Amino acid sequence: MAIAVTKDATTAERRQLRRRRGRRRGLVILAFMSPWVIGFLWFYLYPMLATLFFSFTKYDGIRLAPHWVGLFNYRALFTNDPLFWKSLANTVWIVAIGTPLQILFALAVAWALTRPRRGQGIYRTLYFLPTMVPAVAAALSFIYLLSARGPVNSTLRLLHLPDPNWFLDPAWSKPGLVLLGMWGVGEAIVIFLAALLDVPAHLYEAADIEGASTWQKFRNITLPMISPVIFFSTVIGVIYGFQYFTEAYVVGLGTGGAGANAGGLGSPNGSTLFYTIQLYHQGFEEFHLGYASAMAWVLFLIVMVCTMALIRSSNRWVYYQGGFR
Amino acid sequence: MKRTIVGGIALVAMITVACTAGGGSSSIAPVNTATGAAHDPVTLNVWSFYTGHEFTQYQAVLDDFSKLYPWITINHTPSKSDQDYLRAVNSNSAPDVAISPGPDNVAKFCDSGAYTDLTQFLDQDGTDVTKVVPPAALRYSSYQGNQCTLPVLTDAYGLYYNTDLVSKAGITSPPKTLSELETDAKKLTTFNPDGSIKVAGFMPLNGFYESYALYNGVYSGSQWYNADGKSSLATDPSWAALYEWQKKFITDVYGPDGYQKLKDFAASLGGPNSEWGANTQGFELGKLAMAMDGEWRTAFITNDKSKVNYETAPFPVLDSAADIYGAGTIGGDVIGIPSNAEHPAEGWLLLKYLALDTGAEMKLAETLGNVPTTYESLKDPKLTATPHFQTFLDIFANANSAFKPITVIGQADSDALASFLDDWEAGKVPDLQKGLEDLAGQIDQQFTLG
Repeated sequence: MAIAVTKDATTAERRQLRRRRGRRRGLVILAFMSPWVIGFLWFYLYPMLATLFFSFTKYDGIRLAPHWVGLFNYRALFTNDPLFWKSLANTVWIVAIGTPLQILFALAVAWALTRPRRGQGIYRTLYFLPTMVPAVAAALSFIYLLSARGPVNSTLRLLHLPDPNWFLDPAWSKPGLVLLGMWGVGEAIVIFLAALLDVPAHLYEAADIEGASTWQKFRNITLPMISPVIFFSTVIGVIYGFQYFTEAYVVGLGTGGAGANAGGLGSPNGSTLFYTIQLYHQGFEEFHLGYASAMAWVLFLIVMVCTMALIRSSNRWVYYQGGFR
Repeated sequence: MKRTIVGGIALVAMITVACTAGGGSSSIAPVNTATGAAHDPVTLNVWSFYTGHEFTQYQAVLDDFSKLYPWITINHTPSKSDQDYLRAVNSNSAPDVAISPGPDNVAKFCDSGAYTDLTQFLDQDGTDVTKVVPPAALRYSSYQGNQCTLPVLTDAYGLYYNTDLVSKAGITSPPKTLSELETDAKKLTTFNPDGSIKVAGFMPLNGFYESYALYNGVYSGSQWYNADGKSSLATDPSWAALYEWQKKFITDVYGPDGYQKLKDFAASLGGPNSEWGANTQGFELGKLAMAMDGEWRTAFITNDKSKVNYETAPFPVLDSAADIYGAGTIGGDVIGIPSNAEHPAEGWLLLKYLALDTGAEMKLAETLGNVPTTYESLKDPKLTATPHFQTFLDIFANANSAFKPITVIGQADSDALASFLDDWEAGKVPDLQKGLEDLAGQIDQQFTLG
């Protein structure tokens, strides 16, 4: 009996000791993680919760403490702000047209880069170089390149082709931005190139023996094998598309005149007014921080839904060689 | 869980409110400027929107100030905007003196307490500002009795016309009403063989150069707001009349596809920003026969060595407002002291120098080519001797000249109008009255937006 009691006591002590060690270990891990944890809480979670709170308030960030207005900002957004809808429509356009075009272009260039037997390094460097140009500089360069007297339109006129007014014409301003985006897809090209070079050669050899055409090989081997990279690029592209800002901001201000809305934001005729530009304008130029916070949360939800939809759809078209899901 | 979320949000709210509590302004002791008084060196941080050669020209006047007050060094930062000023006030990093390019945000500066009410300084000095600055400029530099900024130079908008083209077309005097403007523009407009515009009689698109000044209500005698502070865009019929005139002008002068022709013409000049280039500005090149522009264009024409022969006149007004001919849009730089400035008393010395000193005003007006904003400096013989410039001095002196009403929503109303006009000109507003009603609703909403 005494032995049993001692045994029980020892087991309890051991358990306690284990628990204490576990707790200490946990604290050590936490201490090592604390820079990230503090950063996450202070710079990520707190601002997120703060914007959620602000979105239900009237708050100018200057004098007024946040004043609770309930759903007013959300109601105003959906019922009486044409620029909200205009900016959303422009953003959906760039996500729906610009993102797929950029992915297709990057894929095509990456595929072309697998072809040359000599000078691969030079070609790869050339295509990657635009990625290193700052977005503002790139946008300013394109304003010049696509201007009425710029080299692009001069060449088009020389070839007797139509020379659109690009960033001065609402019908051509977004295509102009897509061109600018396609010029700077170096990162995607590098990723696609790595994926293409990673497709096992024996699959193509087997297909050659079977007499498959180039298109059949691309459709049935290349595409499935690089589908995880296409998926990744699509998700990142969609998220980036919804957050599209710098290039359009610079183009708007760079081409809008004295009488344009907010000094040119969205010029011409609001065609480059993207969601984040309108959000920035409301929050940091008009100082409607509550309203801008509501816009930010709507954007967050839209991006979340789109990303979830893409992830769910990936079961049907993304092939993982390793079999992990 | 719900309770945790609500608790979390409440905590965030508490932290936020604690972090954003604003400060107020208290009485500021004046600087002893008596001869022989001892002073510690002071560095005044001055932010302005000026850039390029204008920045250098402004700096010369700031240097003159430093010579007057040798213990004050000025640190002048260019390219700043009203938004920069508000952000700096909010983050407690504001300059001592802030110079804005226009009065759009004065009401915001005054009402939010972002800028110090200058009345205390004026009272300390015994200055009756109404005896120094004309009322038109005082109206746009204060809000509801709070004189939180002072005007330093102003712009006045009028008509520039190419005298060679006008004589050739047999026009003997500048138009006084918008109907006359249309008649003259028809005579002055010429087309290329392919139907594109060779010379535009007048460019009526809102987003082109300074034409927007025509549509802000001054030339139609329109009211922006009624007595209740609600937008009058849909209830004052002169707004609709003005925009109907614009639509008719475009089709009558340039044809059914006039809008596209005008867009193409603007692009051929290099777009709206070609306004600022010596070799691209349409009027200076003789491609625009008549133009709405500010007084500064006189200096630009000289500096750009343009060969255009021209005259200036007040801009024509809507026919139903013919009695206000001679008036024009005005509005220029305003200067203020942010409420958390480190050296407000020294800041006031500079403010007083720039805004109320005749010599400084004259020098600034002469070098920058703007209209001065004190009674005395308006008599500057160098300015009055220039025939082109006298027009703008007269426009500024006209009792009906005005800047659009300043409100706490800043330029949100004129921005909304600009967006609306983009759609209207492009034919995307089928029902003008309904469009104006929607626009008025959007502007009213801006006052309540969080």
